[in-house]
Amino acid sequence: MSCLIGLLGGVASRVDAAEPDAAGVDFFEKKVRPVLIARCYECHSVEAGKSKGGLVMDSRDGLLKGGDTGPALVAGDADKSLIIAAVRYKNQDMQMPPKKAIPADELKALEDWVAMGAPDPRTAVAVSAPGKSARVIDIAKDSQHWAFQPIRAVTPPVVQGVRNLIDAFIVSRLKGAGLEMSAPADKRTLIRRATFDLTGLPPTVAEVEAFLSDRSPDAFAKVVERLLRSPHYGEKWGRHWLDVSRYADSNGLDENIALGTAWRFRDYVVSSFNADKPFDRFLTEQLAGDLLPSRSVEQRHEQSVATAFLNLGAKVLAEPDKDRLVMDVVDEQIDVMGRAFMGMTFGCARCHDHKFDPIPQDDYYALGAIFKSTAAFSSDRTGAISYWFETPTGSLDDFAVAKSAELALEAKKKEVNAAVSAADKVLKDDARAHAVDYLVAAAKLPPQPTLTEARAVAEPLGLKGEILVNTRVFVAANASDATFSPWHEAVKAGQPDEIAQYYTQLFARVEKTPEPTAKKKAVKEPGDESVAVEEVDKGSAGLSEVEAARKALNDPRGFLALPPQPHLIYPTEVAAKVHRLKDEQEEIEKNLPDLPTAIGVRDSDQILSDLAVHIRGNHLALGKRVPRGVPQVMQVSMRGKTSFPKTSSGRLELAQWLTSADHPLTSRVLVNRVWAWHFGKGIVGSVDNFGMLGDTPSHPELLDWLAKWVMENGWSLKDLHRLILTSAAWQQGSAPKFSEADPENKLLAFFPVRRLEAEEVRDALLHVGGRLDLCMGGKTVPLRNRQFVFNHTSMDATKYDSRRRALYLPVIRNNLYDLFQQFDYPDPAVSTGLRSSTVVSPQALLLMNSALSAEAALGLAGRVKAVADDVDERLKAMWKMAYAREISPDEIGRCRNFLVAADASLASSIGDPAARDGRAWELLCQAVLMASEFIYLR
Amino acid sequence: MNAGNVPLFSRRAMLQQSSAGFGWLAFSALASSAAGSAPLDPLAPKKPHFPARAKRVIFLFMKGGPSHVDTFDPKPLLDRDHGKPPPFDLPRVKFAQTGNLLRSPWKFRRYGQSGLEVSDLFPHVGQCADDLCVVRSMYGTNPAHGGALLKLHTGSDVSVRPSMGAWVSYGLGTENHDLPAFVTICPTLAHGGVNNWGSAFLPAWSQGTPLGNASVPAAQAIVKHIAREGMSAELQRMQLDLVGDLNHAYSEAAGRQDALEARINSFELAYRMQSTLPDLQDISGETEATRKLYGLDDPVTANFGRQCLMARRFCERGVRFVQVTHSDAFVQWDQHGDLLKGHSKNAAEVDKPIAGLLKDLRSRGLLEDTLVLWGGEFGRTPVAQGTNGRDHNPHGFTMWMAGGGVKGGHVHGATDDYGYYAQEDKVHIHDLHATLLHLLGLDHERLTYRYAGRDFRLTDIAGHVVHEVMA
Repeated sequence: MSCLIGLLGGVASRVDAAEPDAAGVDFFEKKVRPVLIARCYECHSVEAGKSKGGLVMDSRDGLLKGGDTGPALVAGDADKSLIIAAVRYKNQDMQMPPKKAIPADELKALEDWVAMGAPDPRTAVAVSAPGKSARVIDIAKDSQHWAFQPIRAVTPPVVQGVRNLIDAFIVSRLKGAGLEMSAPADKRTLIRRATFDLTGLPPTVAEVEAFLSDRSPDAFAKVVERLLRSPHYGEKWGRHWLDVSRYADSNGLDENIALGTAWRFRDYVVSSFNADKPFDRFLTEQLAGDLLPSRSVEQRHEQSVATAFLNLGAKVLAEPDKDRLVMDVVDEQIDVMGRAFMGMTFGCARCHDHKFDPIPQDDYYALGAIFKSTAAFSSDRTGAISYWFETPTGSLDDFAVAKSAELALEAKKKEVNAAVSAADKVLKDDARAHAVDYLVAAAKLPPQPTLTEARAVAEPLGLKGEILVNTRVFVAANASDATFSPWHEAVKAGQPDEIAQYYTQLFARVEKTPEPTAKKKAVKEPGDESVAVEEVDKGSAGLSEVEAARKALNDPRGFLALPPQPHLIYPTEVAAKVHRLKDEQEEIEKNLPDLPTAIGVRDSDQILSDLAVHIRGNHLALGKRVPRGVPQVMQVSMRGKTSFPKTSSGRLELAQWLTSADHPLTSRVLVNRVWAWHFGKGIVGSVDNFGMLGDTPSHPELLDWLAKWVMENGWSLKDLHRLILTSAAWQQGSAPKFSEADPENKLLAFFPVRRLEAEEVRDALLHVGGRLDLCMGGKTVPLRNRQFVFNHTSMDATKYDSRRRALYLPVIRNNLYDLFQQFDYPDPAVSTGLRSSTVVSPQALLLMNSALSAEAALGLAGRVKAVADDVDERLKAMWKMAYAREISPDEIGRCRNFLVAADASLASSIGDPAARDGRAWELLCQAVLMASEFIYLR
Repeated sequence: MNAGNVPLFSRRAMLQQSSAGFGWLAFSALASSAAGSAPLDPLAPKKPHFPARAKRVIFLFMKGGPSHVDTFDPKPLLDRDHGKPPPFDLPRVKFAQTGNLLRSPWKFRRYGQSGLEVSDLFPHVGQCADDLCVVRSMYGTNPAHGGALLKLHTGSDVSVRPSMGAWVSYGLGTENHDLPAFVTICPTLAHGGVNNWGSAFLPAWSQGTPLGNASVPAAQAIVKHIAREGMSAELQRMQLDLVGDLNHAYSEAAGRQDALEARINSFELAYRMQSTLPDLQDISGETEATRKLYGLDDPVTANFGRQCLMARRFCERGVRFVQVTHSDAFVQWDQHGDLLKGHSKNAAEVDKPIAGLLKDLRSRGLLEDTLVLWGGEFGRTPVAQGTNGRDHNPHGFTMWMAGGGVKGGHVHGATDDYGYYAQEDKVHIHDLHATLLHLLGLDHERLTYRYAGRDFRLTDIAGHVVHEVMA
C-alpha cells in the first residue's frame, strides 16, 4: 500500500482507503459493487472460492494487490489499470469477462470509479488465496524423500552359498518373507532368454547346439560374452535408449514432416552401446556434445549428432507465434532431460510450483534459462513451418554432391510441370473451343447439378461433365455479371436457343478484337497452399462487353474452369505419361542424398544469464527473473555448487552436475532402467518417476549398491549386464510361484515370463523364416529431410516391407507401423522407460492375416523342407528353429494330423499334390509361429 | 484348475496396463474366466456421474475449416461493406495476409418453425433447422490446421493428449462388447493424424479404431487385417485348432498365467471378429428409401452418405463415439482461394447425407439420446485472402449440435457484426468439451486420469458447461 501511495503522489490522499468519502462510497455501492458481483465474483472472490489468475476482487486489498500479472488497479488512472484494460475488450489476449464484454454503461461506471480514485469501503475480507490453501514447498523437508537422499554405501548381506552379490540381496529379502528362489532354468530356456535379452533375436540352431555341448562351468558366461560382443547387442540395447529418447523419423504433431537425419542419432546410439561408451560420457554428449572438445573432425561430428537427443521432440512446426514455439520446445527439452536422467516430471512446474514434488516454478525457469540459451531452430530459415537446427556432419565436398543431386530433381520437376501444363492446356483449349456448347448445355441443368446429371448432358455432346458442373454453378452464382445476364434472360424467357446465337457472336467478336495487356503476379501464402491470382480484380463492371467476355473466357477459375483434379479427365495416354513422370520425380526425390547434416542443437547467439518466470506458463505474462541453475532439492545432498559461464548456455555444466558422483538420482535411475529391461520390472516400479508419487524401491539397498557399483566400474553398462546375467536371480526358472507374501513377484521368487517386444516379434518371424537382412545402420526412412509424410493427403507412402531389422523401419509419429502399434511399441512422441505388454485380438488378426506372417511361414516351410524329405525329420527341425527345443511325440502326432486334414481340405482348390503339400506345410508353419511358445520367453 | 491357482493380481495389473485396439475382446474373455470375481472388463458400461441426456455421440468433422459467415452465421454488414477495409483490429497472430471485407456469395434463408437462418449451401440441412442448436460464438486458439485439429480433438495443441472420444470411452465404456467403444470412419492422417483419435496416456483400450482413412473410399474402409484372401474358413479353423492345442500345452508347461490364458482366447475372439465387422459394414439390407435418404444413389453424395449411414449402424449397435470425417486428399474445406467453387463442392457432398442422418436418427428414435456435433477446426475470416478466398479464423466460428438433450431451432452466442470475433456468450473449445461431457452425464472436472504426477482432464484447467444450449 505504501509503495502504491508513493507512486501515485498527488492522488495518494484520495486512495488512502481508510476513509473513502461518502460520495465516492455511494458511487461504489450504486454503480460498481453490483457490476463486480454480477460480472467478476464468480471466478474472483473468496465467497466463490475461486481466485483465477491469483486475483480476488471482493476486497479492496485484493484488487490493489492484484493477481499473477500484477496490481489489477491503479487508483486514479483508468488507462493503467489492468481491470479496465480487460473489460474494455480491446486486447485480444486479455478480455474479461471471458464470455462477452460488459455493457457500455457498466464499463463507463468502472472507468469513472477508477478515475475518481477507486473509493472502496470493502475491508472485511482477507486477501489470502481462498479455498484450497496454496502448498508451500519446503525443500529441506522434502529432500528427505528417499530418492533425493545421498546414495548410501551398502554392505551386501552375508548369505551362504551365494557367489553373485546381487543374489545376496535377493535371497535375503526372499528369506525374510519365507520364500526362496526357483531352481535354475534349463540350458535351452537360458540361451533363448539371453539371446533375445541381449540381441533381440532368437538363437540359431547351431548356437543352441554349441551351448548344449559345452560342459564347462563357464559355458553360459561364454554365451553372454559372445552376445555382448555381437553388434546386434547395440541394436537391441540402443533401442531401449531410443524409447527413452522418444526417437522418431518424423515430426508428427501438426505438420508431419520427415526428421530425415535423425537416423544418424539412432546409429550413434547403437554404436555407443556397442562400444560400451561410459554412461556419464554418453549422457554428456547428448546434452552438450557440441560444447565438448574434440580430437578430430569425426569426433566433433559424432558429438554434435548426440545432441539430437534434445531436438527430437514433436513440435508444432506451423505455430505462427514463434516465441511460444520456442518456449514449447524448451519445455519439451526440460521434460525429456528430467525424465530420462532423473526420473522427474519437471514439466509440471512450467505453470506453477510442482503439485507433488519439491520443484518450485523458479527451478523450472532456472533450467529454462539454460535451454533458452540453446538454439533448436535454424535462424536463417524462416517460414510458416519452422526449421529445426541441423548441425553439419560432412565436408564441403559432401555438401557439393548433395547440392548437385538436387539439380537432377529440379530438371525432373520442370519436366513434370511442363507435361501437366501441356495436358491442362489441351483441356483448356478444348473447353474454350466449346465455350458456347458448355453454356448451351448448362441451360439443360438445375443450378447445382450432380456430376451424374452433368455427365448425362455433356457426354453425348462431346463435352466433359466435370467442366459442365462448374459452368452451371458458376453461371448461377454470377447471374448479375454482364457476360452471363443474357444467359439468364434467355433461360427465363424460355428461349434457350438464343444462348447459342448470342454467345457465338460475342465470342467471335472477342477473337477479332486485339487483347489489351494485363498484369499478373504470383501471391505466396504461408502454409503450403499457394495460388496465383490476378493482381487486380475490378469485376466486369467498367469493362466493355467484349473485354468482359474475354475476361470470362480467360478466367482460369471462371465458367470454363478445369476441375480441381484435372488429371482425372486427361485422355488415358496423357494421364499415363503424367503419372509416369510424377512417379519418376518421386523416386528421384526419395533417393536424393540429404545434405550431410544431422538434427541437433547449438548454443544460441544470445546467452541468457537469467529468465523471467512465465506466469501460468504464459510467455506473454512475465514475472521475476531467475538466474540459470539446477533444481534445489537434489542439490541438498551434493557438495559442489554449479556455476554457469557467461559465454555458453550452461548445458555442459548441467551434464557435469548430473554425472557427478554425489548426484542422488542419475545413477539410481540408470541402474533401475537396466534392471527393468532385464527383469521386466524395476526395483523402483515407476522407472520414469522417482518423485513423491513414484513407487518405493522393492530392494532399496540393492538399488544403492548397484548405483555405486556402476559408477565405480566407470559407468560401464556391459559390466552391469555381466553382473546381472550371471546372477542366480536372472538365471532361475520361470514357473509361477505366486504367494500371499509376494503377490506380484516383486521379490523375484521366479523369473517373469515375458512376451517378445514388437521388434522382436517381427525380427523373429523373418529370422526363423530365413528372410532377415542383418545389415546395419544408414539412412532407412524413405523420405528426404523435411519431406512431408502425408502433406495434406492421407495417402500413406511409407512402406514396411524392408527385410532389415525392425530397428531400421521408419518410425512415423501419428501413424506408426501397425505391427508396432499392436504390440505395444511406445508412443514415439513421449519418453518411455518401460513398455507395456498386452494381449489383444488385433495381434491375433495380424498373425492370422498379414502378409508378414504369410511370408515368414513360407520362408520357414522352405527351410524345413530343405532339411529332409521325411515328415518327422522336418517337424523336428521346425521345432528347433522356432522354439529351440526337441519336439514331443504328441506334437508330432498333432502336426501330422494337421497335414492330412489340410491336404483333404485343399483337395478341391489345389489339384497338384505337390503344390497342395507345399501349401499345407506353409499353413502348419504359420500355426507354429502364431503359437504362444514362439512369442513368449520363459 | 481351482480358483486359488488363478493369479488375480497380475490380471488386474494387466488390465490397468491397457491394450491396443479391440481390447474389449480379450478382456471380456478374461472377465468371464475369473469365476466369482467382480467383472474386470474396463469397457463394461459405466454409470455416468449424473443422469445423461445423450448416450452416444456422432461427430461430423469437416476438415479444413468451413466458413461460418457462408453457412450458419449470416452477416448483413458484410454484404453492405463488401470491399471496404475491416473497421476493427486484426488479431496479434495471423495465419496469412488478408485484405478487405468479402461478402458471402450465398443467400441465407429462414427454415422451419424456428426460422433458423441457413445459407443456400445447406438446403437439406436447412430442412432439419428445428433440430439444430447452432453455436455461433465458438473460439479456439490455434490458427494453423495441425494445432487447431489437435485442440479440437484433444484439448491441447502443444502436447500429445487423449482425444475426446477416448475420454468418453474411458468414462462410459461401451454397450457392445463385440465392437470398439470409439470408431472413426475415414479419418485424416495429416495434421495430428492418429493423435486425433488416440488415447495418449489413457489405457489403450479407450482409443479410436479407424476404418480406412481419408484417402480410402468409404466403401473400402475396413479395419486392418480383418480378412485374408484365399483362406477358407475351414482351413483357418483347423489352423486355429492346432494353435489352440499348442497354446494349451505351453500354458501348462510354463505355468498357468493370465497373459497366456488371455492369448488363447484372443484367437477365438479374433476369429469371431472376422465376421462381426464385415456384417456390420454390409449395407445390402438397407432399404432403397434409406439409401436415397443418405444420397447413396448419387456419386456426389454417395461417399459421405455411406460414412453417415455407417455411423448410424454403429450407433444402433451401441458404439459410444463415432467420428465421421469429411476430408479428401486435400484440405477439403480450406478455401484460401475460390471460396465459391470449393465450398459449393464440399457442401454438395455433405448436405444431403447429413440431413439424411438427422432424419433417419429421428425416425428411429435414436436422435433423442444421440448427440450429433458438426463443425471444423476453425472458421474462416470475413476478410478476403487474395480476391476470392478466406483465411483461417479460430477467433470466431460456428459449430452446431443436434439431438442428445440440446435445444432445437436454437442459436447460442454471436460473433461481431462482421463475424471475425466471437463476442456474445463466447464458447471456447474447452467449453464445448465440458458441455459434451455434461450431456453424456460426465462432470469434466471429475473425469480425470493420473499420469506423470498429475491429474489430467480433457478440459485441462479450463472449461465451463454451456447450460443455455440444453433443452
